Amino acid sequence: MNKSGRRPPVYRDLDDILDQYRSGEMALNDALRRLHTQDKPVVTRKSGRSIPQDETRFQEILQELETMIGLRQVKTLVKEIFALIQIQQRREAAQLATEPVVLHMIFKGNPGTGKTTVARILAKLLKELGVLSKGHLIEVERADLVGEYIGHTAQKTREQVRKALGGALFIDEAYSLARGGEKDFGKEAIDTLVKAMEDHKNDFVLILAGYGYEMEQFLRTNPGLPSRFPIIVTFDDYDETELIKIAKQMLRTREYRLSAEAEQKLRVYLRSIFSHDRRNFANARLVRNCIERAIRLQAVRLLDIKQATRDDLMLILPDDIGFEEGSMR
Amino acid sequence: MTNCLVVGRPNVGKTMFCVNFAEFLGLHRLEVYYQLPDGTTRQRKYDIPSARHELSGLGLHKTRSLQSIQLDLPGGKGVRKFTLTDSTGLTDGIHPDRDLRESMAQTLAELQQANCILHMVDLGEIVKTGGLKPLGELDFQIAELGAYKSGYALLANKSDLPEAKKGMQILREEIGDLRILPVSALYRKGFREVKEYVWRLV
Repeated sequence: MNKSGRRPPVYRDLDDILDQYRSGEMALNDALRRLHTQDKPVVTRKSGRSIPQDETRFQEILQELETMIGLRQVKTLVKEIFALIQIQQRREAAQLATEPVVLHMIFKGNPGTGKTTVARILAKLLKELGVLSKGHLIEVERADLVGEYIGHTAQKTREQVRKALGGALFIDEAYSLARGGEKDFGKEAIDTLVKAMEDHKNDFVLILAGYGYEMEQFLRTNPGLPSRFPIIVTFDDYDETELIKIAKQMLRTREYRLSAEAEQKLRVYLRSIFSHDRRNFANARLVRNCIERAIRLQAVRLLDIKQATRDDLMLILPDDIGFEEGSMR
Repeated sequence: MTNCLVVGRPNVGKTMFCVNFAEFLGLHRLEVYYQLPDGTTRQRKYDIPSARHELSGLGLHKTRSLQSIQLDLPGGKGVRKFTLTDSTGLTDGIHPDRDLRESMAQTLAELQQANCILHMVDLGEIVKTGGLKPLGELDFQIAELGAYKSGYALLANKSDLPEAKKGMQILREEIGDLRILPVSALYRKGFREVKEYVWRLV
């Protein structure tokens, strides 16, 4: 976390202290002393809503979001939230009435449009803004919420919510809760969640994610549901240029390079997919699979060449890009 | 549900206590629930002899994650359920091993969460060094922390050793009026008292 070591220590929570111990900056005895001279941890969590202490860290996270390609709607949303919270805090300082911010969200979008990635970044960001006291993200799916017998579901769901307090609860493929008809326990999970959202309005952020069409269906299952999510974000499909940019960025982090012809080939391939099959299109994930396959094929090609230069080792040629197999979807 | 955390320095007999205490309460099979430092969990089943063999050992820092067992306490009418959690041994100062620090941080976090602390010390070690103080601050800190909890007991382990009596004396002088229960994790002595104490808490 704070590699520079310049930052003055701010003991906001248990996690900070533990992090310092983990990174070997603090002796165990000091950590223990800090932990129990603080009041009970519950009390410190309540006072979590504070002005962000660390502007640079906040900028870092924002930067992380900014480097993600596309996602214009998400970026505007984050700016809105940021502005709102800042102003709320200033209003509070000026002793004006402040509205508690409800930030439950729904992420809709096709596979591979970055829903999970954005949720993770958002959780960190909200922590830095002081909305969430702990800023951790609990990722769950249907199996974690739905129980085996009557009454079990509510228990399990409440347990997950309890774990997420002070952070964000992210339910991936949330529409699966509404699947399975009247007798399915998924409904019970939804009802419990609706209750928890009201009870712990300011303590945690619930993010539901899923594919566009299925999520629409899901929202119809409980009439109170859509209105409880003030923020609905649609993750648009990436267009061709963006996907190429993503491919390049992925390759750059892996220290590879796309030759001009290979880029052209990828572009043509993407265009052909766009023209006939949009429904099951896996966006960035498709690009990633494509690239990982290209890296494998390049390795095979270079295996027999004894004196491959540094440049050869980096370059991906058109021959390396193959589009068969199940790796595509 | 009450969560009992067993803490102490490395090699004082935390794990051996957990396994044998579970057996004492009538368990034949242990379902151990591991919470690993990287945030994942897993579950393993042991029978008692293999648990004793695999979980506890002579090497320093055998236990490297939180290991919980669900236990039923029989007594009076019906049973009461509680969780017994075994933890990584704590040491003073900054431990050089990164992974172990992770594990210890886990113990620290759990220390905040648990409602009941069973703090274990080694009588043999106390006699050897002449008291808790020369060992370091740690044990006192845990004792102090225990005061915030609904339950805290100091388990003086290895009471089967010949020098144990002397150790108990030293401990009494140092710790004062805290509740000290002498036990022998290996030979299962003093477990009844622990059970009664925990029964009252759960």
